[in-house]
Amino acid sequence: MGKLPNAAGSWRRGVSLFLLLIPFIAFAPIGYAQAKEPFKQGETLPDLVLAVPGEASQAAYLGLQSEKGQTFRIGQIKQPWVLIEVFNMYCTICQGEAEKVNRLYEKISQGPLNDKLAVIGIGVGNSPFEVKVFRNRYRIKFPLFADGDFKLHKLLKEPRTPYFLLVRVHEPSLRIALTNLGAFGQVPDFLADLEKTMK
Amino acid sequence: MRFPLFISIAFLGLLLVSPGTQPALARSAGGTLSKEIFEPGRLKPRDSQLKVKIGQTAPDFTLPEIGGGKVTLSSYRGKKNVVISFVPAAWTPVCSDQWPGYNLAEDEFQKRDAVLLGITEDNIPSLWAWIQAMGGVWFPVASDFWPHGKVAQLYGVLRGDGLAERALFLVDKKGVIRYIDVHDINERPDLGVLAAELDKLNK
Repeated sequence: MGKLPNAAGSWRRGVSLFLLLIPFIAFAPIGYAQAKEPFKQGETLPDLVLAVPGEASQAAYLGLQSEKGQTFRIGQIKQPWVLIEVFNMYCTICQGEAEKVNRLYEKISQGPLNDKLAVIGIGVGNSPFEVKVFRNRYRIKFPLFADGDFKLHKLLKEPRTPYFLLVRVHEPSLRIALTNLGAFGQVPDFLADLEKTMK
Repeated sequence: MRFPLFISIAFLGLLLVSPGTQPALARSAGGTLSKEIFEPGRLKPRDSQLKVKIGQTAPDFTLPEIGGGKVTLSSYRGKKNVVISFVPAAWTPVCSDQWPGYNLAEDEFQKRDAVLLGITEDNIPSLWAWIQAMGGVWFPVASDFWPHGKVAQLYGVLRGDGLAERALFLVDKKGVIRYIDVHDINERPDLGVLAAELDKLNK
């Protein structure tokens, strides 16, 4: 009889220890699956190096003097602002958003924002061929860049897609002014948000 | 002894309701299915022994497909190149965007006179629901559920846990295997590489 309280105590200690360990056991793989903390307004965009677009008109759109095959940095874009769409050709939300992003680009390029705001896309985890498939399927006119080895994705804190970043190109250099994770809703509303932020 | 037990229960409860522990995020970038996707963690890249090789006639098979019919590999002989795409399982990362990507690239397959044939080891109802959640695909999707993994085993891509490898087999119009990619199950193959292999057939 004298041993019973100790046995019960051991059992309780065991239960306590087990309960304390459950979260670490059960959720161990989740940290691996979670995205990093996204960018906040006012943070500085990392120094992204991209390949100069193959089409001369697209290089000219961004004001790039470099030749095809060379690289450039976001800070070399001529427009004072750039909207970066981080997408993935395999992402069904990105596929669903593509027509809307095209409409947004049309509004920007045909309106007063044309000289003020550039639009580019980065296909994270996509090879040049996969980016080309995405471009051709949706007849995308703004420059798209491949990031097959996820290097840019890592620099961008590995966001899920689509992810939109409005960045001040100059003064202050590469300052992130607005971000949007996921679909951005209606084109006029998002355009109004961009315009408001750039004022 | 009651105090530590209470603390343990409270600690567990806090962690369970904490947003930081909600297992909703898949590893790969993107996908409308992100909330429904089961995250298995990183798996052994490959767990099977290939039983076919390039240059041999592809073993024939007939499987039920989600449209209600059956699909037979040899029915394409003399007509189309066939890309057989085994993916490990419905409702898992990578698989849940690999086929939507192929769906987008329908023109690329058509240009190369190829059809795509998707196969998993899931049963028809699960497979059907998964494809519906994707918004549908243009290519036939077949179930290798019963006898479980018979076709995957025939090709040597059935893993020890009953899943298929993430594998691509390119079969030409003569029924001969011309390209095999048993890919790391955790990663998506580059569609550009497959397109280049298809281009070789059409030269």
